[in-house]
Amino acid sequence: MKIKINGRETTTETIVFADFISEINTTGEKFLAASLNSKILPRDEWPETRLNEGDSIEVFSIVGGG
Amino acid sequence: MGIFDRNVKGTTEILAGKTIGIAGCGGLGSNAAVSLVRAGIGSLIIADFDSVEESNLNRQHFFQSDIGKPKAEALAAYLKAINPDLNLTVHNIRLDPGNIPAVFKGADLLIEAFDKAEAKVFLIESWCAAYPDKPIVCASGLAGIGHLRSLKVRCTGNIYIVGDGTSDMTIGLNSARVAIAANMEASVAIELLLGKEVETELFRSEFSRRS
Repeated sequence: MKIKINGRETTTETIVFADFISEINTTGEKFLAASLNSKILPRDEWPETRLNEGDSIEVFSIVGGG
Repeated sequence: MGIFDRNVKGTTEILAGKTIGIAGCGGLGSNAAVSLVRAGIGSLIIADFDSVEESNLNRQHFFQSDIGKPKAEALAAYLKAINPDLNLTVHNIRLDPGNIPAVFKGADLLIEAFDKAEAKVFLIESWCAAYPDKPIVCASGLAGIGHLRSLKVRCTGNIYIVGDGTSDMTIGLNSARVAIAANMEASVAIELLLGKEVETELFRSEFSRRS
């Protein structure tokens, strides 16, 4: 299916949101936050959330410092 | 002459009617709060559980005489010293996912000003679950020195994230760079409350590549 990740179109056969995040986290970032169709998707909902055609996902790394 | 006579025309009156929550009163929170008060924000809700330590003075808006004092209280005194009419709510508490919605109830917008990454994440999740229509402005990646062109504003829905997205606090924190990130947060908050469109950039492209 076609989806958008960080504003760029891609295709995936992965169904589960958590699996998709693991696949794209090639740099092994420790703390990621993600939104699905512009709404934040809490991490504990990632394993039970399914991807659908046309979904727009934004993933970003949260690093410490303040 | 009034405090706000040199502010951008038409902004102070709007900001005077707004409330901003600031979660954390360290390098991000203390510097952002000072700028927001100078910009004319009417009400602030500030929260931090921590006390001022000497090692905070390299980047946080505190002084030698504050060491040992609760950060939220020490900051409150400086904010009031700038604008005595500021409507200020001070919480000396440790924020957790359970108390965040109540502590910042009534805020039009929240500024994330924590230091630990895991706390930043739970703050975003807790705020967005409680107040999905209200913006949150966060910081991720403000450590090290320079590389100013890497500091961006990015956005998804009502979540705005400033910083470079990669530099971790383990490499050390520099006064100027932290204050820039804090003031990027303050600026985005001001722009949002004035109803302006915030200029943003796409999130990092490495997450768009498939392994």
